[in-house]
Amino acid sequence: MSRADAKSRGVPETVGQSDQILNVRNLSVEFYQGSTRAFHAVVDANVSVGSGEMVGMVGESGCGKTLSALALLGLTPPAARCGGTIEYRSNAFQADSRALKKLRGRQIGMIFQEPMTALNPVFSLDRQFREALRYLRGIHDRRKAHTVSVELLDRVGLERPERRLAQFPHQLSGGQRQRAMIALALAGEPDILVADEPTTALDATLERRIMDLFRELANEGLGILMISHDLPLVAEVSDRIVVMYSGYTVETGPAIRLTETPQHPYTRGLLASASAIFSRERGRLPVIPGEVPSPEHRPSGCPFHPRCPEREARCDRDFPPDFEPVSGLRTACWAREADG
Amino acid sequence: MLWRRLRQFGGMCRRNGLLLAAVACLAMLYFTALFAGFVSPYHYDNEDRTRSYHPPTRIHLFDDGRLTRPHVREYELEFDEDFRRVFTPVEGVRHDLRLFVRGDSYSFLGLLEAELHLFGVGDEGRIYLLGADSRGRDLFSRIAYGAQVSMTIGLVGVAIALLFGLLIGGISGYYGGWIDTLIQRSTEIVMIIPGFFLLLALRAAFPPDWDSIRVYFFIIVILSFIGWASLARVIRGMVLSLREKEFVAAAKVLGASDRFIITRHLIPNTASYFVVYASISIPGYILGESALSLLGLGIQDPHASWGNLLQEAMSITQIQLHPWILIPGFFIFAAVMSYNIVGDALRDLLDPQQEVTTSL
Amino acid sequence: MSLLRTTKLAKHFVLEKDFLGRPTEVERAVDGVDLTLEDNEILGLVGESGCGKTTLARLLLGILRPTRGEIHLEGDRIDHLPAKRFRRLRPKIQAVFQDPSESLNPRFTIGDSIGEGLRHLTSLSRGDIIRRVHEGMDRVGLPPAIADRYPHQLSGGQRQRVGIARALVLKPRLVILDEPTSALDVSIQAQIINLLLDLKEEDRLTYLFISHDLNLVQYISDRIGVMVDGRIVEMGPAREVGEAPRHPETRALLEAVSRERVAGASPP
Repeated sequence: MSRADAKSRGVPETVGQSDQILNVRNLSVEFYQGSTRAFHAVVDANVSVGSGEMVGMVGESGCGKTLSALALLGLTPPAARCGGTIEYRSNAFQADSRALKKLRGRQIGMIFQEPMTALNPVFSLDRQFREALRYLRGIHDRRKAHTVSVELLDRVGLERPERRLAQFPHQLSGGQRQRAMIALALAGEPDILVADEPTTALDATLERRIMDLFRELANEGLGILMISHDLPLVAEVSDRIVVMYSGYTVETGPAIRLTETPQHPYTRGLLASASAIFSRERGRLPVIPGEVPSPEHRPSGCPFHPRCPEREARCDRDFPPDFEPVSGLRTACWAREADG
Repeated sequence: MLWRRLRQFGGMCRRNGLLLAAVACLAMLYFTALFAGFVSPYHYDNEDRTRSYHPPTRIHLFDDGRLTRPHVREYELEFDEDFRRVFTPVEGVRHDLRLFVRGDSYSFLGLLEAELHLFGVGDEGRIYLLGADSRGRDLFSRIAYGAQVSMTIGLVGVAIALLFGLLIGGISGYYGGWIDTLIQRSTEIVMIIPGFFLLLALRAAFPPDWDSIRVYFFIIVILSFIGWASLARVIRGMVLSLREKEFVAAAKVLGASDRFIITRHLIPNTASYFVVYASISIPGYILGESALSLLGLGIQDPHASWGNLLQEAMSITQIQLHPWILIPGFFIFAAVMSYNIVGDALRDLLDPQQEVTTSL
Repeated sequence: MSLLRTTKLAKHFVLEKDFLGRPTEVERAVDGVDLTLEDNEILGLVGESGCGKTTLARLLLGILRPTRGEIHLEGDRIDHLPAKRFRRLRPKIQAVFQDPSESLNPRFTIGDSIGEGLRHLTSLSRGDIIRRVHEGMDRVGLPPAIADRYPHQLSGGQRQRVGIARALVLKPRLVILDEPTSALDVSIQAQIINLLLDLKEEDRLTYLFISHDLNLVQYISDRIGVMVDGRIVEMGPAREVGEAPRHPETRALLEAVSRERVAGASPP
């Protein structure tokens, strides 16, 4: 029954439905060893990103947030099989289809956690931008490519772009590299930028500046899907938040409403610890007891039930459908059934 | 942890037939080496000069068209018009092949005297499974005894090279500074000496009439003296990066001594490399011993090693006349190939990214 | 008398030398730090990567020798002690490291890891060590059954509990916590923070809490020091530093980590 319910969870959004560019429904990623299923990394993820919208996808290690992002770019490892649909504008794709790869770079840009690994250390930025522009936009003219590269670097706020282009990745500071990465991801003029933990390797002050840049880019109309483990950060900068737990999307909603009136017990637990830290009241922090489950040992039913303070009898059997206990918040929790 | 690795290795064997064959081949060779006296029908020095270069004996199952016990024929040495040896079967004389027969005495596992052999044809006849050498000694028996030298020299040699390489590399990487510089320059000096020539030069410096046991250990020492340097360099590099890990800082805070940190924290964490190194460098030792013995500088007759068995195959006319004297070379080939295949598999298992180069 | 005091503590690393071996390029990782730790307090030390906070921790732990300056523990100078005599002080100053998957030897069992300090620094018998290890595991909330397991078989939170237990069994006075929660999952961080606070009260511990997370430092610390380029540019009671920062670097940090939406939300 949980499967049937899971299917019905992809109901169209009521808020801002019209301008959703990317809509990921019932995404699943399973890993196979030979022909036997090793584990189910993502069971049911649902995300949508609108034009000019910044969406934060938060979750802990092993919740499937990074794999979901890779899946929608068609970048999952060979041992993985994906299910579900990915809608980009009016086109719908099967999650496993080859056609998805065409979106990559041109319609959906991607930036990674560690910019040093994504930039090629033996080529100057100029050359890397030239290649990207030739491949993604068909710009073969050197001078044209140079002008466009300067514009791109200028757009991400990298100062003295002419000079930076002549440099190699190792000659840039961490913040500059991350900006260069973002500029490179924008080379194909995508509508959507997927950023996987874009600032985890950076210091707090740099992180803030990159977040400001994302905000600016979003205001210019770019849709941004930011994947992060840092709920307070995501809450601060995003328009909408998607909370993942052990392969499932458990709560989705506007950032402000979700932080003010979180409905899922997991979100509540995370926010309770976080806001207790911000309250500066010394005492013990409210905690979510127990351990983060690995995808190999996911509890049955709702995977959060062993740690949940509002656990009911049915929680270990069936994963709940989405309820809407508070307008705009979609919460997959049996305890919210009466409210929604 | 070890158990898990073993099970993974078992899984690899099941999927990879070549690997399974290599493992089986090594197991068989070591079994032969361990029980050489039992497996071989004769003592390695049991000669019969009347049967010099006796060809491999066929094992017959039929006598006069009737199925009988497996047996061998008796052959008589004659010379043809070119004065070449020809062994012709003697009519009516047959020797039954029997299992678990009594024969030459040997020491079983170095513990007790034994006379029991896996197979044989009794005292009247002779069986040459793989032919005989110039003095009529059974090549099969000599290969079995030779395995004792050839198959162990790599194990012992690698063990010694590991001991020095790990310790010296570990110390070099952990302390750094002038100790590191000193050790690194020393390893470089060892490494620039062409190994085989050093082997020859050193062997020439010692009396040629040493007994085989002493030569055996001498070869091991020389080979591992050449082998440790390359290992020490890689271990040093690994330790250099390992010592920056937080668990080393933690061990210092917990009061661990330098010796404890090197031997218990750092070196065990290089295991994924040195296990592979060991299995891949064993062929070098086998080949090194074979080469020395082939040149007459290693194990001396009457003792057998695969290298000195090949001495007889050094002239092309002998090979033309008695091709079976090349068979020991096939055993060297099989052992070296098997070790390389197993080493490759271990590398895939333990550290897929690690690049390993063979030494020697 | 303060528990630990440093005066003008400095550590310079020589990056390049000329042909005569004279240093031509020096990194001043720690450059004149005066620090006092009072008994049973939590001093938070915050700074961005490369500010020298980890080097400072390693100086206090005796892993590195200072280039200049002094360290006093309970009034006695300890920075120049020979290794043998410093070992006797080791149980008093212990540490919990950032990433438990890095700071535990993957080839040691959990029991061996926790007992390592006892093995090196005490003359306890094997049986006594095992008893103390189990005691320590119990105090940090680890089931005794995992003593024979290896780090990779544990969750991140359990691994960090092992890291804490291994310091705790030595009955230290001062524990240096170097980013003890930043490698952990968000829902596990709060568990570890609470554990650290409990242990501090039970054992009257003193903490030097090193982190890049100013919010967490503000929450947990009695006093805060802000470190920039090897120097401590601001030091004061946590509330004061958080509400009325004097140094521009502190202000920039505070601004960068402000999370108004979460801070403003009232816990449900």
